[in-house]
This record gives sequence, structure tokens and C-alpha cells, in this order.
Amino acid sequence: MNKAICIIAVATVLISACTYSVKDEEAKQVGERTKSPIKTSNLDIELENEDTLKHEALVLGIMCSANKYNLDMAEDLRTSLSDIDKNGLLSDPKGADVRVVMSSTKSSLKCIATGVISAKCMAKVEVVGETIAKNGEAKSFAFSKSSIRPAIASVSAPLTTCGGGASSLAEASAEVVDEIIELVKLYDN
Amino acid sequence: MLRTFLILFVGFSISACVSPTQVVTPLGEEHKGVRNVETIEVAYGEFSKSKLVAIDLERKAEGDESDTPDELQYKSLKEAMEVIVTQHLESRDNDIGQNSHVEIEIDNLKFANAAAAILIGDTDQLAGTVRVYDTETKALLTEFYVDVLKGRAGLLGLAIRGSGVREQLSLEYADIIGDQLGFEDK
Repeated sequence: MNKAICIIAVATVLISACTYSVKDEEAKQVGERTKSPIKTSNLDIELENEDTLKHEALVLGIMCSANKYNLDMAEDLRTSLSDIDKNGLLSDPKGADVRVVMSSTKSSLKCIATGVISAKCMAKVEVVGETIAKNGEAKSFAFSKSSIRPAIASVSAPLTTCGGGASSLAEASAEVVDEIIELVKLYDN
Repeated sequence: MLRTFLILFVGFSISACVSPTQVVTPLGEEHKGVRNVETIEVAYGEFSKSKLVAIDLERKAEGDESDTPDELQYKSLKEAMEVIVTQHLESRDNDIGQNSHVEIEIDNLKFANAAAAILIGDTDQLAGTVRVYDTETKALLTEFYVDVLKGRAGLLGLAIRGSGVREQLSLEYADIIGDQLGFEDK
């Protein structure tokens, strides 16, 4: 009896499992996050090792573990840096005023049932890297941000039972990107 | 709504089968089975701190009519886990290795709802993060997430469940920590 329940349960979970592109999920959340007005700086900026920003979040615990959460923070950071870059190209033949060199990125997600039909997800995103000024002076940085959201993003929409996990990852990663942008802005004297 | 119900039912059912442990930072081979656990600290994570404190207060006010040992009867989850995990790991570690500090951050303690268990099945759950540090250098040796799940389905499931559920879950949690540290069963 127990074995039969397990087989049915596993099969159903596999059928209902999703792969979330966290970037897309963030787009769905537009308007929920208030961004400060973009102001172009006088900096020529370069972004290096951006591939380390593309990764899959580690899902902790049983809930939502059948889903995959792929984060592409590279594009978000590139877009945000382009917004403040002097020419918006993130490259300059004369050399950058500041280089943002990424070292590592990792994120985790845990979702927990808080009631009979309610659950919460908590995402944590951590990045490590350094900024290097034109004179070669390097400053390392490590940012870690967390976000908690309801696990069920939308009860009426299909396949979103763990969609809140993607939303919380998107929010945490957006906050990390904001931190990096604020750090880079400090070079703009 | 039907979909939500179905997924929750499936979640409860599947959790009867597994207690997953995810390793965030693996323990080096050189540390496996040779560390002495010196100190253990249990804390509540921000996830459900208020809920866990409420469970503790309720327990202190009402007591526990189960056959829980007297020394654990009115203890909070934190205090009870510190006792249970310490005793269990002491029975498994070999006391010859370098000292370690175990930090446990509990995210959830959930008891199966009797009505739900009879109708669709429900689970008892104790979940949280474990971090093990070298006592001397404070270096992180390993980090893993333990999710102890005990499925309860029907009247039979509730009957088998017995009493002292919090203690049962804590003991299984401690056992998984011992396994992760490479301790031999004694």
C-alpha cells in the first residue's frame, strides 16, 4: 500500500516538476521592485568572468526539490552596468576606469509548508568578486542577500506551485546586482 | 485550487518515503569519522522563528502528556535538541579527533494534523541547516540541510506514530548528523 502511494506520488511530482528561468520570473514581477532612477556615470566599466553568474540554485529540503531554478544574473548585471556606463557599451578602447571581476556565485532555496495549503520560500544569493580601478587598486567584495515569499506565486495559474521560489530568487539576485552597482558608482567622483 | 490540493497531497504522500539531506559544503575526506563533537548550539532560523517560539510556549504552558523523559518534558525545542543531539553524537563519535562545534538552525517543526492524516495523509517534519566548524580555527568544515519527514496516513499511521514525536524527529535528525560526519553506528 505504502509502496503504491510512493510510486503514484513520485510520478505525479515528476509530471508537475518545472524548470524555472529566474530571469523570466523576475520579468513577471515587474513593478514589485522599485528601482532608483538610472543616472549615467562618467565611468567606463568592464565586466569580467560573467559566466560565473549563470548557475542553478540548490534546492534545500523536500518541497520544490523536483523543480530546477536557473539563474542568469549575468544579463541582469550587464544591463544594469550598461545603464550607468559612460557609453553604455561596457567596453572602451582606452581601457576601463573600473573593472568588475566576478569570482563565484551560489544560491540556495528552501520552501516550507506553513499551513495546510500555504508555504513560504526563502532564497539566498551570494556573490564574490572584486573591483579593479584604472590604477590597479583592487577591492574584493562579497554580497549575500535573502528574500522570503509565498511559495505559491499564483493559485489560479498552472504550474506555479513553486513559482514563489523563483520570485524570491529573482528578488535576492536583483538586490545583489543593486549592491554591485552601488559599489561601482563609488568610483564615479 | 484542485491542483494545489493535489500537489500538497502528493507532497505529503511522497514525504512518507524520504528524508532528504542536501550537502552545501562537503566534509573533507580527512575529517570523516575522526572529529570529536565538543559543543552543539541550536537556534531558530528567521523563516519560522515566531512559529517555533509559539510551539515552545504552548508546550511549557500545557506540558506534554506523552512518555517523553522528564528532563525534556518542558524544554523548548532548542533545549531538547541540544540534549538529544549531544547524547546521540556522544554515543557515536570516537572522542579522539580534533574538536568541532555543531551549529543547527531550525527552519521548521511541523506536526501532522490528525484529520488531514486520516483523510489524505500528513507528515511530521523537522528541517534545518547544520554547520560544523573546527573549534580552534573556526573554519567551516561542512554545511548540509536536513529534512526529517515522517509520513502519517490513516488511523494506522497515527497509531504507529506514538508519542514524543518531537523527540523522535530530533533523534533521527541527530542520526543524520552522525552519518554526515562519518561516525560509525555503535
